[in-house]
Amino acid sequence: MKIAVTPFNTESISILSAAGADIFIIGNEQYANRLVHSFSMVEITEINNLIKSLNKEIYITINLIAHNEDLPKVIEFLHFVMELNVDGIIFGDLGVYNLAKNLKMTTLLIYNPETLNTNYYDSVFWEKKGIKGITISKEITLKEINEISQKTNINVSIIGHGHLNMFHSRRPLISNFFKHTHDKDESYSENRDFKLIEEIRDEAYPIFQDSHGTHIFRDKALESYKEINFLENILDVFIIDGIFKDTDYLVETIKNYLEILNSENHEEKAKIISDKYKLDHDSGFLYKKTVYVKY
Amino acid sequence: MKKPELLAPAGSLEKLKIAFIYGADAVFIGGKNFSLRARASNFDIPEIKKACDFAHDLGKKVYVTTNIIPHNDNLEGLVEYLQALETSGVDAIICASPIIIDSAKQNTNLEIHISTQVSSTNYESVNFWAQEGATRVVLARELSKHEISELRKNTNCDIEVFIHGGMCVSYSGRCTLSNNMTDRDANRGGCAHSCRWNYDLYEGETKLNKSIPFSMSSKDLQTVKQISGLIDIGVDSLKIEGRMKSLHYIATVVNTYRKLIDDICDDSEIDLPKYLLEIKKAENRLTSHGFMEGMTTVNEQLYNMRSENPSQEFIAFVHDYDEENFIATIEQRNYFVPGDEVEVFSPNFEPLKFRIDEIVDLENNILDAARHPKQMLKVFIPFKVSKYDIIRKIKH
Repeated sequence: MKIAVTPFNTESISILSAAGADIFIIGNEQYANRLVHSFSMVEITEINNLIKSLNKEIYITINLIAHNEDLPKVIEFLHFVMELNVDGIIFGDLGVYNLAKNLKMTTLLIYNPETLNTNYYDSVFWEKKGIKGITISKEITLKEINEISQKTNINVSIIGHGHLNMFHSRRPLISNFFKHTHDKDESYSENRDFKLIEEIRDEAYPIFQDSHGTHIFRDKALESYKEINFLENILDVFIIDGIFKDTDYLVETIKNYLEILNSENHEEKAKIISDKYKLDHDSGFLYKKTVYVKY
Repeated sequence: MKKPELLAPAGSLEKLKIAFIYGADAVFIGGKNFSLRARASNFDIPEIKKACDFAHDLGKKVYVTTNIIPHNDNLEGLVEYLQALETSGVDAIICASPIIIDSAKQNTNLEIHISTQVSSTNYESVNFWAQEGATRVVLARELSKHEISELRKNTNCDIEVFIHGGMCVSYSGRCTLSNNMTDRDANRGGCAHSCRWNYDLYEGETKLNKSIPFSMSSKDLQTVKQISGLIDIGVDSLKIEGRMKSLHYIATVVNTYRKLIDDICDDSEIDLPKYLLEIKKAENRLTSHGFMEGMTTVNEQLYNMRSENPSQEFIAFVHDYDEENFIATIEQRNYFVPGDEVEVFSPNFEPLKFRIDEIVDLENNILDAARHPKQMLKVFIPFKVSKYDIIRKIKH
C-alpha cells in the first residue's frame, strides 16, 4: 500500500517525500475541486520533474464536474498532462473519462466520484473499461471496503484521512445569501475560515465558495489509525487529504501511520495515537452503517 | 417542430390515472425496491402491472425508478425484480448504478434511462451512457437553456429535462449531508433534506448572519416561460418532479404544461399570464426558473422559509353527473359549506366558476357542511362535468 498526499507547495514535496509519502496529488483549480492548493502549469511541470527525481509518483486530479464549455480546456489540459508522463489521473465526471479515452489515456485513469463507488460491481465495471483504479466512496463501512477490494484487480484506494466533503452545489450560496441580507459585503470567494452550525446541532462544518460553487465538509477529520494495518493488506493507495490543514500536519500524519505500521505492538500504538486526536478526528463511516429503511 | 413527451410523477395508481387524464404522455413511479424516495407510496409488482395496462390502453408509458446507489447488502433479488418489471410491461427503468444498468442489459430487454442522480452535466457524459446502451439521459438540474442546447447538438441520445418541482441545491447524487447529519443515506432513499434546515454562518468566532438564519434552500423549479425554448432546442422529454405531491398538484401542474405544450406546438397564441396564474393554484413553495437562464442568483434561493399558500383548495372530485337534473355526485377531499365560491378544473375545458348550493349525502340528508374525507355527496352544478374533474374552492 502506497501513501498519497496533497502537497501545499513545491517546497513541501521533498519534506513529505522524506516523511514517507509515495504519491503526490496535484491539481489546478480550473480542472479540479477542493484542492489544498492550485498549481500553475509551470509549477506542475517543475513538480513533475522533482517528484520523478525523488522516484515518487504523481497523480493529477481533474475532478471537476464538467459543463460543456469546460470540455475544450479539459482536452487541452489532458494533452499537457500526457506530455508529463504522470502516474495517474483522478476524475469524477464521466465526460472526462470519454475525453481521456479518445486520447488513449484510459490506463492512467482513477475514478473517484466520491459518492458513487459503493458496491463490488463498481470496481468490476471499471476494470472492464481498462482504467487504472477506483477510489471507494466515503460513506462506506470497513467491511464494505474490504468486500469491494477483494473483487477486483485494478487499484483500489480510499481517502482514509482528512476532512471529507459532504456537499457540492453549483450555486454561489454564500455570496447570494449576503446579497439578500447585506450582512457582509467583502469578498468571500476562497475564504476557507467559514463554518456552518445547524440550529439544533453543535458541529461546525467548514464551508467555502469558489468558481465551482459551494462546498461543505464534515466537522471532524477522518482518521484510520486503528484500521491502517488491516487497510494495508487490502488497499493499493491510502490517501491523506490535507484540506484545512498544513504541511506540518501532513508530515505528522504520515509519520503516525508509518509508526503504527512499523510498530511491534501496532494495536496499542494505534490506540495511543488515535486517542491523541480524538477531539477533532473520528472514524467516519468505517463502522457506521447509514440507514436504508422505508418509513 | 417535434412535440416533446410530458412526463409526470405518480405516487399511487389514483395519481397515475389523474396524471394521464390531465394530459401526461408518460409517468414515472417507484417500485418497492431499489428506488429513492423511500417514503413516497411505492408500487408493488401487481400494481405496476395495473399501471402499465392502464397506460398502454391509452397509448401512454410507465417508467419505474430503480435509481438507488446500492451497497453490497442491497443487491439481493435485483435480477428477479428487473425481470418482474419487464414482465409487467414497464417501458423503461430510470437508474444510476452500473450494477443495475448491466443487470438489466444482461437479463432483460428493458429500456434504460439514466437518472439525474449521476449529474450528467455535459454531452460527453451523456454520450458515455449512450455508448453503454442507455436510450435516454435525464440531465442535471444545473444546466441553462443554452447548455442544454449545446448538449442537444452534440448527442443523439434522448434527453430529459426537469421543468417543474423541487430541486436539490447540491449536484444530485453527490450530497451526503443527510448521511453525515442523520445517518440516513441520501443515495439510498433516506434523504433528510438537511439542505433545507436553518444554519448560522461563522467566520472564525464571528457570526455573520445577523437578521435571519443562513439558508441554502432552493425555490422550486417552474419553467412556464422557458417551455417554448426547450421545445425549440429539441428536448425529448419534459419532466415534472414530485412523486409525493397531492392529486390536485399533479392535475394542476400536468394540465397547465399540457395545454402550454399543445398551444406552442399548434402555433396558437400563447397567453403566458394565464398559464402562470393557473400553475400558482397548485400548492407550492415559491418558484423560480432555477438554472434555466444561467447561474442562479439571489432570486432562485428561498430565505426565511417563505412559502406561498395555494390560492385554491381542492375540495372534491367528480364521480358522476346527472345531466337531466344538473346534479353531480362528488367525493369530498376538504371541508366546504353551502355558499362557498368554487370552480371546476377539468382536462376538457377552461375552469368554470359556480357557487355551492345545497349539499346532500347519498341518503338525501341535507348537510350543513361537507366534513368527511372521501364521503360521497351530491351538489348542483349548472354545467356538464365528468368523472375526474376537480372542484376547488377559490380563496379570497
